[in-house]
Amino acid sequence: MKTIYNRRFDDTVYQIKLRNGMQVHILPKDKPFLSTFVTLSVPFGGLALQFIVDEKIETIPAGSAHFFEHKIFAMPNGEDAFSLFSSLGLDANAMTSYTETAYLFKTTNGLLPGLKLLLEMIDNPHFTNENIAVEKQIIAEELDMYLDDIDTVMTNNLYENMYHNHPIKHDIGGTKKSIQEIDKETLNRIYETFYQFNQRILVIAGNVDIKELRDFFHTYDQNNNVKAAKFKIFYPKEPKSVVKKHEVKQMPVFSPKLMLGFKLTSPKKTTEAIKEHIAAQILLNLLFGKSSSTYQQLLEEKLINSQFHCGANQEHNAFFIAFYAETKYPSKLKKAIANIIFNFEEYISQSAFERNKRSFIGQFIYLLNNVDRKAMLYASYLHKRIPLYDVLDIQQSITYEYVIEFARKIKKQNMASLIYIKPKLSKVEK
Amino acid sequence: MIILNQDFKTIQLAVYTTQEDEITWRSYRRVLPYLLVNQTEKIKTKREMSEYLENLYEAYFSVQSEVIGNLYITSIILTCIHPNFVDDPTYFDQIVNLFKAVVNPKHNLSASIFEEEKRNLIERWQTLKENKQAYGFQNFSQHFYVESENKISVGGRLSDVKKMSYDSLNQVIDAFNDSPRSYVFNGRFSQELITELNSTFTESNSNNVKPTLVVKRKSRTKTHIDRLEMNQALLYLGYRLPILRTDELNDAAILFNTILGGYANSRLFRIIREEMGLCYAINSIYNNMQGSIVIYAGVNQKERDKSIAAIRGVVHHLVTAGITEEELNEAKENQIHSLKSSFDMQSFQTKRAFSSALFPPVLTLEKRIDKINSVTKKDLEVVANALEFETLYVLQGETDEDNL
Repeated sequence: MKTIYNRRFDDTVYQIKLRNGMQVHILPKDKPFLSTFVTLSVPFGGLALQFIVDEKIETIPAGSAHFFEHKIFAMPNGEDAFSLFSSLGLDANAMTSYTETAYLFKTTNGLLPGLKLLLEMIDNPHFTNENIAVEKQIIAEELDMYLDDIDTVMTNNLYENMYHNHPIKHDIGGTKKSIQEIDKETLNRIYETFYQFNQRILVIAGNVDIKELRDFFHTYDQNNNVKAAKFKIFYPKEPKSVVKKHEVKQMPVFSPKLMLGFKLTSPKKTTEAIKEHIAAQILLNLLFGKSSSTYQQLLEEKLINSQFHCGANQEHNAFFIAFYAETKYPSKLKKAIANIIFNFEEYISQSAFERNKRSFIGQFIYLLNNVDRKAMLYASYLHKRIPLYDVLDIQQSITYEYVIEFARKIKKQNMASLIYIKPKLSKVEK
Repeated sequence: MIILNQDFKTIQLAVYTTQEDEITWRSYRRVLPYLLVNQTEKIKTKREMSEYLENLYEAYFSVQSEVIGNLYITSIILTCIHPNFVDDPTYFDQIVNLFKAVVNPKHNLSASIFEEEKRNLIERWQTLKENKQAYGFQNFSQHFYVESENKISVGGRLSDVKKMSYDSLNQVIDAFNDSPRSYVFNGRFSQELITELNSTFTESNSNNVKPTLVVKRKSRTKTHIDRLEMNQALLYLGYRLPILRTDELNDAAILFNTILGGYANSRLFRIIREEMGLCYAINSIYNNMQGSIVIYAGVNQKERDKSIAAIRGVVHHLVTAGITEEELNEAKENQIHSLKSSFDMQSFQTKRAFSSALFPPVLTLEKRIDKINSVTKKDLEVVANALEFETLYVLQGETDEDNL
């Protein structure tokens, strides 16, 4: 067991690497803290639709990772692990992102039984045609629920309009049609490929007994020592252009809405990609944050309202910045946003940049204060081979000049896509 | 003043004010905290406030308005990082001074910020239909709480918001300043910091304020359907349960709701979702301030009637056939776990410190656990027998199946 102490934040991390390849990271928090949060994750999410094993490309339907996440809770004896977690008094959940799947639980009195159940569930998949059929109905309702959410529909639409081939153009949950293609074989293939021990990272945060955990994993490792096969997720080549520059749609909304995305190329090296992602967030805050003069100006000109927001996303090598606004003047607003980005020098200053860096330190400390979020992000960065505490160092290494250089990149690449939603009266309201 | 000396990396300074609830003032009271956290006498604009907070390492305000019985409660919380993480020795003074200025407003707040916040509220009302679940709940409340003030949102009606005028604002500020207030400070405080807080903030009359809770009035059974262009059918089933937070059976009612639809192994989740595959989202919520249980489910429109019948069947079975000892024990475990884990969350601690004082006696965690453990199957039978179905509300898309 390795112990790492971070003096700045007064945090200790214990690391265990099992012989089967699984990593265990323990982030203790002393009493009177009562709860323990556990997350077991693999770097397999909605983007993994094609993968290479033994030099062959295999394809799985959109929504497979999410479907798997639902179905792994079926236990071989016919019981549902979700119910079993509850009967242990634990609060369990699972989530699928574009790049990861995570299984979580929180406990105040049953860490070891919970860990045993979690590992038993992951180690013993049980897929049957019957339990897959019921799950298709449940997930179809989940997809319908999201289709009733305008923001989700717009976001998916923007991704489709920005990306030709990158799998980000597919919803993480897939479609009602694509999930029909998922069967027992799909799920078994996913398990063999993506759920190998060396892919799993287990993070335990909160109230823990280190010795008890060391003994637990010593026993578990002896029982589960397996060799891993190699695979690689395949990402098709993505052209340096958008699919559609402009799209106007009518939907049952009550105020017109706009989403504007600027597609960007992403650096290949992970640290550099994270650095650019943070630089993008800093730049957006400098140019469009609530403390910027431009945000106030857009408000005063009534081009935006309080719902305006923007952000930078990076999912594998799909990297973009996106704006959301409720506006009656889409062309004017697009022009205004582009004008601010392309003439960024007029709107940013070294002092605002320094203020922003301070603000990031604050956000980082808020994150460390929340055990659940800290554990989730810790695992997420570890899958990218970056220790969580290094993220602050990466951020602090960003200079004003670096941000300016990044802004020039947006201007140079200039790959924008706009979607505008106009209200329509639905038949039932006419 | 309550000081919770807890080991967090952040500090929370919170104020809770209580006023007698008056429908006509709800819209003003809702908007006021948003005005306060965006300006002080020295910080004149929202932009300046944003800059100021960023400089304080992203300190942030959160505000909440709620109605508890006959009381209208406004809370303003300032969260910041612990001064130990900052080199600036004046950091905590700046935080304290900012909080003091915000929670002790003077007259003449900015008219433009008032107009902007008013416009925001109106826009949120006008676009409520886009958030189908919230819109559905709003409409359901209109039917379920038909003869009660609970049917009116905590922010008032749209017509009230539209009528708000800047001229009346000083009256609202005076009422806010004169209202009983409680302070809760939560974080790792040195003696020096505690002294600073004690010397800066003074409470007023807060110990005498206790809400009067009233169970929602009975109403006849009714069904209502609204339509929007949408894929799902959202079902809201309202039950009257005349048991309040102040009643002996409160814990039994919480456990009854847990078993019905309050957690991931509840009857509704297991039967309606996992066994029948009728929905993705389903839950039930017990409101112990008004005496009700509301079941929510998002189902396939074609399966609407089957789903309603199945949900009502689950409730009926729970009431008539009762629960098992195993179910009760699991629900207790679940509630105790939720309670214990909430003690680890700073925001929960802060809120609980205030709300426990509203409903004395204040119990320790151990006593709360003992109370949950003392609930019997017999108690749950009494709760079950008190449950009365009143309202079915459906928000759905167009379909031929109109009649329920």
